[in-house]
Amino acid sequence: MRLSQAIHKLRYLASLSRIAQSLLAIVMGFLAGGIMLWASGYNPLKSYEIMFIGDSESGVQGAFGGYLALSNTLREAAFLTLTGLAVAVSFLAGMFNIGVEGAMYIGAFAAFLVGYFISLPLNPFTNLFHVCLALLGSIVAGAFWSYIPAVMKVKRGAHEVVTTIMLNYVAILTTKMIVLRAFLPKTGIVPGGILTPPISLSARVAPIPLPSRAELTLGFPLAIVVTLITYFLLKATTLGYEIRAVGLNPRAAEYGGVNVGKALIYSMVLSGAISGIAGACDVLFVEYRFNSLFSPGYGFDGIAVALIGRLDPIGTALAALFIAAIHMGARSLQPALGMPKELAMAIEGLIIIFTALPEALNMLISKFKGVKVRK
Amino acid sequence: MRDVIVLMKDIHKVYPDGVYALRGVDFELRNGEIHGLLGENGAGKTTLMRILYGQIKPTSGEIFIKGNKVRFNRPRDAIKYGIGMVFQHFALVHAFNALENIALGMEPSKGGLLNLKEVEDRVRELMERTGLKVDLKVPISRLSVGMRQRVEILKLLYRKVDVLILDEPTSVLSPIEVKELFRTLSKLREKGKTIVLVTHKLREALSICDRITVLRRGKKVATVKAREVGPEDLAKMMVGREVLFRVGKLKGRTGKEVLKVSNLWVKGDLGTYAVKGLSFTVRGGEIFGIAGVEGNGQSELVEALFGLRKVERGSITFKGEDITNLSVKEIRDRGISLIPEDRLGRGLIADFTLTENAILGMHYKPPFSKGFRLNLEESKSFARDLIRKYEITALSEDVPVKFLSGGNQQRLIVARELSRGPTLLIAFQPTMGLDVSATEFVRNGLLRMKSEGRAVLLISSDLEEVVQLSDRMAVMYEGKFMGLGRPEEFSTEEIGLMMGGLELHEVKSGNS
Amino acid sequence: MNYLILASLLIGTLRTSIPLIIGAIGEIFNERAGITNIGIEGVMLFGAFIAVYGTWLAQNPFIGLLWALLSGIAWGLIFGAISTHLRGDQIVAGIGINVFAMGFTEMMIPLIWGTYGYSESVNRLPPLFQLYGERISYFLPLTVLLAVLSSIVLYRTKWGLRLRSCGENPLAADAAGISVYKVRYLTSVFSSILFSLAGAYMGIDWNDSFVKEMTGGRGFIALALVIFANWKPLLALAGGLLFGFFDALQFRIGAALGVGVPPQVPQMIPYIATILFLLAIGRVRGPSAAGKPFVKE
Repeated sequence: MRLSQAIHKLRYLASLSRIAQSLLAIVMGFLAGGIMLWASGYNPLKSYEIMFIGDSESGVQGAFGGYLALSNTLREAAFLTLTGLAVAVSFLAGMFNIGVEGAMYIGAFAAFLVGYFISLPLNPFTNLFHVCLALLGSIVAGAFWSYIPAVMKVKRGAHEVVTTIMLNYVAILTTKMIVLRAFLPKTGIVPGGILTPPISLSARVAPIPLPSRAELTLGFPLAIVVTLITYFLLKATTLGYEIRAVGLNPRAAEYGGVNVGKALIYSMVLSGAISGIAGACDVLFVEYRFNSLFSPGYGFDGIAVALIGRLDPIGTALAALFIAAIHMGARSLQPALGMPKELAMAIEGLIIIFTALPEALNMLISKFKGVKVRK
Repeated sequence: MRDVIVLMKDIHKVYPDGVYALRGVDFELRNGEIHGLLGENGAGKTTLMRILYGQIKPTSGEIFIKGNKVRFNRPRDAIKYGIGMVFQHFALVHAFNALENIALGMEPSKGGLLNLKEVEDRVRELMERTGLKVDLKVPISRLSVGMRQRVEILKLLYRKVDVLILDEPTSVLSPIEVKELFRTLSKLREKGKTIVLVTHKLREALSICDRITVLRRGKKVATVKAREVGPEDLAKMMVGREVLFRVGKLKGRTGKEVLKVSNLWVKGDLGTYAVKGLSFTVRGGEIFGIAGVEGNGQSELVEALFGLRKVERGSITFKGEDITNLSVKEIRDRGISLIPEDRLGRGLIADFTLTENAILGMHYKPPFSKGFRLNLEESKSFARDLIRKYEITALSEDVPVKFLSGGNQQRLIVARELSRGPTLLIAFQPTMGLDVSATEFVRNGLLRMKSEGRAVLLISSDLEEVVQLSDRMAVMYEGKFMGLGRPEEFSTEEIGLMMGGLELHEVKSGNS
Repeated sequence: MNYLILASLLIGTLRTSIPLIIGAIGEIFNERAGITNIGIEGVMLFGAFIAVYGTWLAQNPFIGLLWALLSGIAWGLIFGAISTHLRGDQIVAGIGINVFAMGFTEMMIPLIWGTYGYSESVNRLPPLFQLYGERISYFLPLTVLLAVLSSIVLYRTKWGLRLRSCGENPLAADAAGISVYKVRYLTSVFSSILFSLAGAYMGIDWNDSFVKEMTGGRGFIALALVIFANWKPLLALAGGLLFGFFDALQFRIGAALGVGVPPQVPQMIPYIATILFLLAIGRVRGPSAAGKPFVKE
């Protein structure tokens, strides 16, 4: 029995190495991306170098090549961390929630409404209060938007992949419609979307200044806080336990007294709340207004981030930083090499596909280690 | 002496994860015999036959069919040589009817369009010749287990198979159906077919087989003629030591009535009633056993008792309180524990650690939970406690339970449910698929519950288990009790008849 | 009611339902064989792009069509491998395909044509005939033919029987001597060809250029359609027409509703309609083994 125990331990360790799996997926994604670059006539190594540390010739900074780049990357990482956490929390329960984008828009809009229609005299206390109120509004609104498909799934069995995607479209179109109808006469249309007038001063939070006229948005520390809260929630609370149990084996969870429907709904409500916070970050800390098209797809990137992070909160945060680096880095490719920034999305897609193949890695490992036989 | 038609020489099988399933097994099959392949769960008998059937490849060893060396890559190859296998849980598509299942893989067609009429004609002819009658146009999901088995056998005969391998064919049949099956097998033998019967039931092997090969832990122990041995000899060969099948039945003090089920009606998944007006009581300090073949409403009964299925009519009373249709949580909180069938499907969460599984079902209560927080330290020390007290072999309490053996997984479930000190313990197929030591462990656990004055409801398709452990028992058939009383009141034949659908009074008065 | 608008609505319905029906039928085959590919949207989008690109290069829409066919085969093989030998998570892989297709196609537009968000116009496929100035595509009768043939193949041929067995109980199929992996590879290729052609239709028949994200969620509506059609091709035809109706409605109803209603309202119709349909249907049971990798030992 000793030797087979040892083999089991090895196998346990091998599959325990989810980090290795994610790293391998990332490497494979970059390899495939490199092939794409090469086929398009670009030098992959040079391209990746520019992406990460910039290129002094063309003056771009890549993802980490300077304070300005760093602040952009961290801001992007903040959003991706939040949406990634939102996705992870729902995926852990087994709900394939593609609706983070929509919930984020609804949350952002709610934060805007609280920030716009209320105006308080400006001092640190009212500032804090107003921001918290707006965040609360975004949490409630986002939670509600994700609650809808959750209930539809639990009560009527409606497939959440389809319902959440449909609700994304509804959210984006509805907020756009309201902005056009109610606020347009006051502002104009900008290539990035239709803007509302700005929110009250008392609801804004200025970024933290950094050297070289760069600035760090409050969204970043907020994202870290939310990550830690989510981690605590999942590992150390009864609800987190039940959510994970339902995601792994709903039958056994049921036998253990867990109310499966409730767990599913709670997971989606949590997810929506975090999505709402993500949306609020843009309104309160970045643009100070609602932009009908503020998201370059954070909700969908959140899926990539959550998958690469293996649905673990800390892993998700790290993956968010990484994907943010890819995004910001890809922006430098345009001026430096003439390569469109959507390359980032293509590489992301490839990485996601590779993260779908953990078993393949396990099979490779067991072939590698050979077969040890019991006496 | 009949000719040898199948010869397997020095077969070894090692799985990629290191499990050594077969160690140099020789197997010889003679034309026209019924050959029993006997061994306990995990001995390697199914593995050996799956190799013969071409479903698995051996790590080393040779196979000869009628003197020709063969190498099978897929079952299709084996079928070409006239070898067919019926699996324990069948390989039928439930959504299709019998005809479609028989035709699958060998469909006659004109330009691609199915011609099932041709199949039907041939199958009807086969049914005439062998006496195996089945309704061909009904979906498999609506056929009884015995009928499904017939479809499987017809499938093989349709493919002109000469060697039929049956894997644990009687585990899902009532004693009457078993008799019918054996009659069919004799008839097939008359027609010149050869049959391999894979089983762990030695009495059955003795009753129908010509020769028996015994496997133990992947090795062949012996091949004997059925006429020349008795059950004790076979048991010793299977297990390697004297097997004590007698379990000391302690005289317990039966206390008050703990569970009362009155006129219970529960629907199954198909919308029809699976439990039809069941009534019984269980008292503290006794083991009440329900015997019966799988699929006669036991699952639905257990689910209804535990709050997982709706009770349409009737009531369940526990310690004087009506608990009909309460939630699982409420039922657990009142002191009812359950060892479910299907440990990995319903009892444990495979990817959760031992600790996380240990507290499943109690995770929302102190000491494991304070308010909304989980107390991880308490949980871990509790898990370590269980590992020690119930002798669970595991690297640590942080190991995901999927890495535990079946026996250890069951020990964990038993440990968890027993440690709660339940007033009523429901044990549903608690020893299925376990080796002898794990089985003994579980049964001792049940007896200990009884000696502590708790009530135990044992539901098992293992008749011997029910008879030996229960103070009182009932036989369940199609949602009803055919008889209820003390095990001593019934003879084995009478129980067998009840499992086959006859009611007690019919059995006692000699009508069959 | 203005007959011209009605006719336009009818023709519009027929036009918009084509990619939905083709996509749904492709996925019906997939799920019946035990595969769940939610990357329909991605393969469709990619098909649209590659069809436009091929057409633009060769100045011939039939070349573009051929390219889309080849692209479908490639994606089919990839997803087939993921669902069989690689034992991958099909849902995650599908999501990855969608993201990749979106990024890749959008990235290629400026690289090829130098513009952002839309490609150059290309020649479209020749229409079957024109009616009131509206084109009727060859795809229309072909789609109907596809639905009918699919139904026959699925229920009345031996391949259909074997395919369905792989989706209901792959162990039984394997025991019957059927190569489940082979069936799933072939099915994946076939369905991906359909997805790709649906995209090609959008790029070089319905429209005359590639616009970023032009599939607009239709791949996902096709998924809903599969459930709505209870995995039956003929019901997918009927359902697709219904969904297509709502899709066509959004383009035309603006005029009918008048100036008071913002354009976003009709735009939302197909999405809300999809949700309502799913709610109405409730819990459904598809092929038992859909989406689960088949492992033998």
